Amino acid sequence: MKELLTKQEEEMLNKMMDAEEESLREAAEFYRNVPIPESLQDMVARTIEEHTEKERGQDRMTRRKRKTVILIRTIGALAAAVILFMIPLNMSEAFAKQMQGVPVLGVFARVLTIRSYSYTENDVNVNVQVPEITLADDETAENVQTPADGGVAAGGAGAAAGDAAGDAEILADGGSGILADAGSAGSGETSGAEKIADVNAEILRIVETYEADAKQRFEEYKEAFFATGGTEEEWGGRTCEVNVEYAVTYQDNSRLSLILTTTESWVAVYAQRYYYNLDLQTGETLTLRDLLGENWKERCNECITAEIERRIAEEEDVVYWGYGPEADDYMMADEGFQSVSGQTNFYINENGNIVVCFDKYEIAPGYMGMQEFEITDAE
Amino acid sequence: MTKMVEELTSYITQNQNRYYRLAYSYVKEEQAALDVVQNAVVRALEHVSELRNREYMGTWLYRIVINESISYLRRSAREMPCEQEILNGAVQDRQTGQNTQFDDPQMIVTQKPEALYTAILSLPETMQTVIKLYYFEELTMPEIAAVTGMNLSTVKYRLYEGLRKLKLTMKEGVA
Repeated sequence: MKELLTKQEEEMLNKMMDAEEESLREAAEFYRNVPIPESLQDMVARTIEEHTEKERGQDRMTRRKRKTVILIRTIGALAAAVILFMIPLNMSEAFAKQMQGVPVLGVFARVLTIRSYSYTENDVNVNVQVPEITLADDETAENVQTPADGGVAAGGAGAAAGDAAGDAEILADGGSGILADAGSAGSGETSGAEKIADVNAEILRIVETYEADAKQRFEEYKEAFFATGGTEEEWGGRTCEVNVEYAVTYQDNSRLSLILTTTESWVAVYAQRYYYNLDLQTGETLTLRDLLGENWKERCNECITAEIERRIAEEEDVVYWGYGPEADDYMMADEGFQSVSGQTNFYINENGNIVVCFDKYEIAPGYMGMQEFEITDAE
Repeated sequence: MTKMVEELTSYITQNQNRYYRLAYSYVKEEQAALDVVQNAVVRALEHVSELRNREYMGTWLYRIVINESISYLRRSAREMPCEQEILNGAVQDRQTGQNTQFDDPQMIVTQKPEALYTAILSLPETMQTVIKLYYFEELTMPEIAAVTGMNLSTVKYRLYEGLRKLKLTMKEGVA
């Protein structure tokens, strides 16, 4: 494509610029006269506030995950006895209900709703469900596991074998998983239970802080609305929905996956997810490396890249920065999905597969929303 | 909040009307323009660490707003058939609410700046962007080069192309 002006063209350009100067300045009036919606200021202020708060939240989580990486690496084979504890939005409520408080065969942890409440205050409708994870004590564990009599007994052997790396291989197998659990229960339980108590405390703190902040934000918005001359009529009975919910996406006797979601809707909908990946024995967060092995990055990246390309090819209105038609967009050259990292969010779905999640805006334009990619076995 | 983030948020707040107008000039709809600005603000905050020099904050933000606007347009192009009419040069007359075409000479005389404005909005994206930034946002050519990632001579070339195309459109209209 021709990109350079000849001397003649350059002169032409100058002439045209002179000639059109006035009419273009007049046309600019139409540009500048576009009315600015009242909601712009609120929206921008709120978006900034939301974001800076979220950043603070992520800092906390990042620290948490780092600590976990070190610990989990040293524990190694203990990946066999794992709880993945996360909380997802797209989980059916029915399934969540079914999971909560129901001791599943051989499970060493339960998730219970310790608080559930709804109320309306100052035009804010609040619906909150606070989960709590409890580790089943020995007695419960015995009651729960029918096939486990042998398992628990054999657990001694497991303990004798110590942290043999071989234990890791039985990760996915229900019966043997119990072996590993029981085997290491003695040594891991105290600290695991304490850490899980920490997680519960963190969830509770997130929920309480969020609820208070959300109400305050709406209150401030309301004040600003009336302070700047808004009338009751214009306000028109606006309300705000504040929801906190959780769902267990996966649970077996070694892993539990759960996502906590906070949602706030008024000018727009703001949803945020908190993912926790915990090892039942240690109470620590699991990493993608723990679950997928040394090649975790390659595996994730391959799956995600292939899926992005498939979606672009097969689905309508799909845009991922840096892929498909956007790939040679000079503005987007350094944007878009490049690789998963230790900070990448994920949960385990009902098939026991890892699902990697990207926040809205992270790898695609905002309208694409949150993006999820199931990591399936390579052919 | 880091110092850069503080500066960024106050910069955004001061210039939010500009970003809204620029977004509106692409998407031509209030709610869409608000969405674009919101997406742009989030993106700016998320990528602030990549902004090494605060001198570039202004051009960097324009770039993000334009990016979000164009992403939005690409997505909605297939969804909104009326978009095509605008591109074909139909003008929504503000006063009467009637559709008028460029080939109505009367309209051109009485409404020339608005017709010109509409014609600008129907130029190809890169030409449009250069003209808007130069005449409406009053950026210098080097600044436009920084916003769009083009080099200076390409900016000039786009401006030249754009103006020539506009001239042709307006001439056709009058004739």
